[in-house]
Amino acid sequence: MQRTDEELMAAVATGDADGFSTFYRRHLPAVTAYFARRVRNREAAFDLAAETFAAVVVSAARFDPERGPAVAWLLGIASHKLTDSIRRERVESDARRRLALQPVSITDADLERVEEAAGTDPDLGELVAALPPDHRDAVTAHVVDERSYREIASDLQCSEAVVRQRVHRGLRRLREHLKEMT
Amino acid sequence: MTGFDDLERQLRGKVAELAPRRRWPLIRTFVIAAAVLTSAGAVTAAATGVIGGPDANRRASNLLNDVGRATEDVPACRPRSPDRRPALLSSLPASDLALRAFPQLRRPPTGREREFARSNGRIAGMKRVLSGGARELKATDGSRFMLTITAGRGSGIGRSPDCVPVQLAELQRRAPTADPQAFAIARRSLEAQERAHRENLGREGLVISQLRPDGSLAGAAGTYTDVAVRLGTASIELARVDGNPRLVVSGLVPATVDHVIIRSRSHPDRPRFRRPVPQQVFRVMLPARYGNRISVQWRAADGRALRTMKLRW
Repeated sequence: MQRTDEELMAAVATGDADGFSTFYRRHLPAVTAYFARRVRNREAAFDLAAETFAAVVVSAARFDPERGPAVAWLLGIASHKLTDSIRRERVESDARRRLALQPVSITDADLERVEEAAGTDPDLGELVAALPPDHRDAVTAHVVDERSYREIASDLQCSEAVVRQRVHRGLRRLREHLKEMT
Repeated sequence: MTGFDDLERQLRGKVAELAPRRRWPLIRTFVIAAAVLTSAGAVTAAATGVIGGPDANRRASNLLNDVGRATEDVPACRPRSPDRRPALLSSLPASDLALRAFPQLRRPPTGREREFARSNGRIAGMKRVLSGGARELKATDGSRFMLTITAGRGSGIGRSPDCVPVQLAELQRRAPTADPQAFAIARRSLEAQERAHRENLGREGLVISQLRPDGSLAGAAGTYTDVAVRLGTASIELARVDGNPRLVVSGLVPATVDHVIIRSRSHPDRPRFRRPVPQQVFRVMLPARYGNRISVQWRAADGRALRTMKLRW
């Protein structure tokens, strides 16, 4: 039986390398596509994807399934890496340094894969954008921007319970989309 | 192997390597929770609440914590240092493999190299630096690097690799009463650790860090490396030097390499540079106009090509 993302993350936290591989292969196309469509340099898109998955390994133990599905958590990491790289005009390598990874030589096949992902693979950001507007705004504000339910409720002039419900439903829909794709 | 495959391979190794470090806080959390709840006289209810989660991985994690508690007094599983924190330096000598790969390790370290090892004992995260395992290397462009050898990967976790078989035996003892799904996950996790320990046995980690002119690490905050390469790889990056963009190509090579030939593959003239490598490390700065595709060829003293690598930034 196929393990869920949340089961895989729990397994990664206990040292299950196969669990990590499954998670990596399941989400690499969407993560690569996310970056490939937002940065022009294909090598930078590769680097951002590498940094995102290194951050997944570094913080696997901190993943809390009660705060939302793993894919939303992954999107949050990817989004932060992209914002940082735009602000600093370079791709940071903090997570890779923390893990003391050796540099990866990018091959032509990798660049073709990034190119291909940019053209065809579904993109995490687009899946969020395709959610109904109230769900999309709530998911983006809570998961990507890491704002509290109270703050979001105050902005949207509604109760915290309503925001929680929108985030919950938005994430559930996102998870269903991804399940259909895999 | 593509870059994506290499990345996956490296991250898989790190997942297994990091796991034992992460389990300590979980163990402590459980011990504290159990103690509090015991004093409240609610052991049964507490056990259900703490141990029995809805998901098999969480149950596996708790099972591993139980195994960890049950074996923590076995000598092989005792934390290595009395305060349960890993030591910074290892007194192990460099292995024959390292001595063969880096002849510089055969000479006694200088005072500066000893001091570097002492003050950067955690240069590679939780790995411990060999007390005599730092050597300063000079590239032909005048830049200086510090080569640092660390005690076998994963050895800085505070417990001996011999603990894993003990924990596996304890887990097996619990098999008849354990949840089968959680048991299978826990066993896979311990087996992965055992495999990683076995594969890393006798192998040292290697970090090479660029130094500033004053001898301090050029990396951020002096904690981690600025350039981390391993033997057999090279790196290329685009840097701004004195306001001009430059391609910086660097790498660590085997002792048999006499010089490197660096060639632009994207510039129409295919310019080519030869650089001697007297101390196993090279660093070459090229104008950015030479493009993003570079090849690096290792050559022996007689001009024989030993290896060619194609790099892109």
